[in-house]
Amino acid sequence: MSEIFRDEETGRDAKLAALYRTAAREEPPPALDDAIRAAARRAVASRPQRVSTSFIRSWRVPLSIAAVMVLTVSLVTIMREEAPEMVLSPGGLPGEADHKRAGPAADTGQSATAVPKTLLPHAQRSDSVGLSPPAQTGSSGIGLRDNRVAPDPAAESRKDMAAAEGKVQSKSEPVSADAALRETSRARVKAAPAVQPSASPPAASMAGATQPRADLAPEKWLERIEDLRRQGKFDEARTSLAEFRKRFPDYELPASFKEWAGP
Amino acid sequence: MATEQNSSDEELMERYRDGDAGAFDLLYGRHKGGLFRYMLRQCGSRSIAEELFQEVWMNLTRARRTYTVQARFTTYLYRLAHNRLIDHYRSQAGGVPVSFEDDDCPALDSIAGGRRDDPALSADHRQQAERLLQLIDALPEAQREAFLLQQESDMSVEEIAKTAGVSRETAKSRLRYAFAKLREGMQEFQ
Repeated sequence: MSEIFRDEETGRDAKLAALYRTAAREEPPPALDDAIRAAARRAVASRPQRVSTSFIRSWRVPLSIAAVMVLTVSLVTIMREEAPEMVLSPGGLPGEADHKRAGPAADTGQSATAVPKTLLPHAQRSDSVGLSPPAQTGSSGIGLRDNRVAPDPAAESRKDMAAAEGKVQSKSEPVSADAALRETSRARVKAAPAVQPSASPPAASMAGATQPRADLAPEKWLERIEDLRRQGKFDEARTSLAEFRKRFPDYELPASFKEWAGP
Repeated sequence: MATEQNSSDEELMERYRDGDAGAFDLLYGRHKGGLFRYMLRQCGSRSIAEELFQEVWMNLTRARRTYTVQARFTTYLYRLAHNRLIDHYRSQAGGVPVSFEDDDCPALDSIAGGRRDDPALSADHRQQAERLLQLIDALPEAQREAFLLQQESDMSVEEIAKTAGVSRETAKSRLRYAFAKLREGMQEFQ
């Protein structure tokens, strides 16, 4: 320690520092070196997985949007093919479809000539908007086309009654296309718990096609009937009113109704 | 390979952050000895030193994603080591040594017993080296840390202050006291 070079600020001693460097030579054991290096490599190797995770995360939203768009376009296309008037007609509201469905079903006392006029559009419209109760569609795997037959049990029962009277055969010819469709799905409909056989025709219609209307207030019902008339659907309005009267025999109709519906 | 050897610590750490495991090997090779000796002298037990040493490097690998060059790599590395060491002190019965809290340095106390034998050194030189290591062991922890940071990683006073989390004046004071005590202890060889 004869030569001492000091740093004035820190008192650093070059001789001491040199002596320390020759004296202090400890190193970590090789096994520890290997363990640390291996761990460092593993830490880096786990990186690509995180990258792929972030890739999925970053594409999740766009993929979801694309899937929703594809489904939407598919459904709209199917609806256009299956029920074009539902897509194009401005009158295709759910409430309206309700009335259309209830009309013929309630009008079982009338002649069977009313069946082809009201049943066909009604069946298409109501099915397209999905108003038919799921319990009538047979198995759960049945899609849109299967829902089409949902309101049919009421119509079917009515048709059967009319057939017994020998009237349906000739009058139902205009709906042969739809009838053919019904024929293909009749097996499924029969398999489903359809209208109770013991129910009277109005009751059957209530249980089947007019189930959503059970909770409908009389005032609301009358409003819908008025809507039908405003749209020029007078037959349907009368049919619906007839059903209304059966359901609410004591309800006093407004004056505006008495003008066209009679006392 | 030549360019890799010439790369700075900070460049190597950035490359490791970006997924280059080879850069870590170079960094580790450069600093493993100094860091190990720092730990060994600061905790006094080889087994504990190895454990703490490993944890510091593991902390470095875990923190690599957030690494940005803000100072010399050695400051970053030894800051991790310092923090781990303080945690170790806290877990011990004695807690963090007083010297880390006091800016005033206590008088040189007793000196630890004899140590290793290095055949590369001459007898006289070996005696001096052993004596120096004994004196270093006997330094208060904070002064010893300042001395080791300067010797093992060639840190400036500012970097020592930053690593130890103290003011520049405190770091400078610790260094001065450390050298003064070592010189005093080595006077018998002059």
